[in-house]
Amino acid sequence: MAKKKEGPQIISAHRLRDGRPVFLGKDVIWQDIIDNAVIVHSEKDLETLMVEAKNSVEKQEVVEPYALSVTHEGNMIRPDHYRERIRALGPSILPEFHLQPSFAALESHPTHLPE
Amino acid sequence: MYQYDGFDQEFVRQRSAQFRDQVKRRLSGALSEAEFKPLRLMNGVYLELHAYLLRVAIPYGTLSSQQLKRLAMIGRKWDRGYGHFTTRQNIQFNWPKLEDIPDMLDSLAEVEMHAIQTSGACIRNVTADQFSGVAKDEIEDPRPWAEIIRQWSSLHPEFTFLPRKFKVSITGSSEDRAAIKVHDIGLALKKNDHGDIGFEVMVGGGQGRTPMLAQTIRDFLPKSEILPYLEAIMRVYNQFGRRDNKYKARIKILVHETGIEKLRSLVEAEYEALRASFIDLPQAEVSRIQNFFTAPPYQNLEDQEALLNQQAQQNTGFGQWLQANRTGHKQPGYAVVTISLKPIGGIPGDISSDQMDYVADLSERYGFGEIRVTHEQNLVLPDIRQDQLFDLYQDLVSQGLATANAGLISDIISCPGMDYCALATARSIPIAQALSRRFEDITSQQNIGPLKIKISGCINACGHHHVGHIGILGLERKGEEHYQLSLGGHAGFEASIGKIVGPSFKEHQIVDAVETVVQTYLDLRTEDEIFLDTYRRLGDTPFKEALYAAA
Ligand code: SF4
Repeated sequence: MAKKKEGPQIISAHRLRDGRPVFLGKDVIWQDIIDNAVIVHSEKDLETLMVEAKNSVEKQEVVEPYALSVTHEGNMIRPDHYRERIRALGPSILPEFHLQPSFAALESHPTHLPE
Repeated sequence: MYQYDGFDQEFVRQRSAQFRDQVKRRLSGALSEAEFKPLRLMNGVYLELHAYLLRVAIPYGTLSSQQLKRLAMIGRKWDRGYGHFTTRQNIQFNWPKLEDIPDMLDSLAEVEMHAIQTSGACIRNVTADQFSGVAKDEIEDPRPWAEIIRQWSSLHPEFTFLPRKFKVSITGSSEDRAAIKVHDIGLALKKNDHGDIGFEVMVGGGQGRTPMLAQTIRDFLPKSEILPYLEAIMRVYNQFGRRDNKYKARIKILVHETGIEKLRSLVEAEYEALRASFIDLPQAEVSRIQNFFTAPPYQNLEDQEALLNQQAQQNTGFGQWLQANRTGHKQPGYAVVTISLKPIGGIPGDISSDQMDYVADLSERYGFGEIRVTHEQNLVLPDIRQDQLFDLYQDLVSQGLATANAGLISDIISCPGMDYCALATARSIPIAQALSRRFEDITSQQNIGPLKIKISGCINACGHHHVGHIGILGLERKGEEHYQLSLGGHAGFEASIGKIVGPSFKEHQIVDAVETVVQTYLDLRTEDEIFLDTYRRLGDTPFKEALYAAA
């Protein structure tokens, strides 16, 4: 994933117990829905946030935390990369399993392929 | 079918108990992720995009109805009600919770199944021709040999830390349905001029970023010498295989860099040295294993072509299904049936727990309670009476399992791609679905004839795109999904690696591009030519022109 130096970023990880993607929210509470993530705008703030994420790793809450670039508008947080959008939403082929972050409405999933 | 002895049973149970303890220690923090990861991988547990994944081995693709019912139950109880069959004759569950996996493994152990050696740098699940034991063109049933190799390779102390993963595949027929030439070792049972049956041993095949076809290292090996010979190959690989670079560590690179002649002499020298201490397989042991694979109690029946023709005429759907999904059986009056897991617009290789239960019941009602799993992500009922095919067909129709497309253009191999896989660079399933819908009509599929489309979501090539007649590789270009098209690949004794045809296509272009390729073939084929023949006769020029001329 191309990591933007500038621009909004959030931290994601997998929850240890079930492997589900989670997003670092306020008060170091890991959230299922990406809209609830804490957004940072500088590398320095990202570092501070990453320290919290790593503490969470030490506490066996999550594994493999990493930063990703997002765009946000009002309440909506939308990952910039398609991989991260699929990860935050659910398999593009199984809408019945999709979580409902605000950006879901923007996705043309399963796909805009011609029939 | 092979049945575990006390040793197998105890070993699988112990392993499951060990893993339960490891999971407990991980959740409590006694084990860090770095410590735990290799342990979970050794038990087939990956961490993918949305959840953990549990990969369960189905040795040489053979399942009993009881085992399939257990897989159904596991999918229902601990997953989301379905499973996914892979190109390595494994089944994957996509949503297990880490804390549930020990229970899943215990449940598998009860029916003699496990997830050991489905990951990591070891000898993986041995795969085989899905029609083993029933194929009309069979020279010898490879399953006993696959079982012997499975036992030898299971936790072999010398080969648990190989330079990389190692895959063995085996066939006993005159046609290769197990893609043996793209395995680290491919074994083909064959008859020599004296009428003796032995192995042709091929080595160094593989896909991934450097696709290569296996080369023959020993033209004819007496069957009883198979284990010492394999051991010699493994030792040479263990000693000389590269460990400095993950991408150069597979045995195909060793074969490529050393040359097959030199490698052969190294292996033969090792073989000579080790034969002194390595006892050939005693015939008694071979017979013991072979006894697990004796033919079921067939009835003395006659072939029923007249009846089948009549039924096919009355019911076009049945006729089409018969033509595509039925294969000849060595026993008169019986048929081998492929159950397509490629419904039009469906997800290749996926099957619901309810469907698993249903297929297991069918295998008991119509067959001898056995099911096979194919590397092309379909299921097989190996022993169906021809006079019951129509009834079976109607039952399959009722569950959406009667798609008449085995071997046709919509029988697409697709890896999970970015919809599940953490390594993916693009999605592959939606492309398979869109292609399947584009070529939906079975009559036109039959007109197109045998054509294999294979799709991978990254260069690791789990979707076998290198050996697809039409291969599709999903890539990322500038933050978008792109698809690279290759033509002319083939798995089988006459294997070939597909050739990339030109610049890649965007997601919304790839289905049209494939249709252009197919139309070009239809325009240029001579009578009876299948796609691969036309491609091999004409090369890629006409396809290139059709694809890129307008651009
Ligand atoms: S080919 Fe790549 S994307 Fe597909 S399953 Fe293998 S690793 Fe995943």
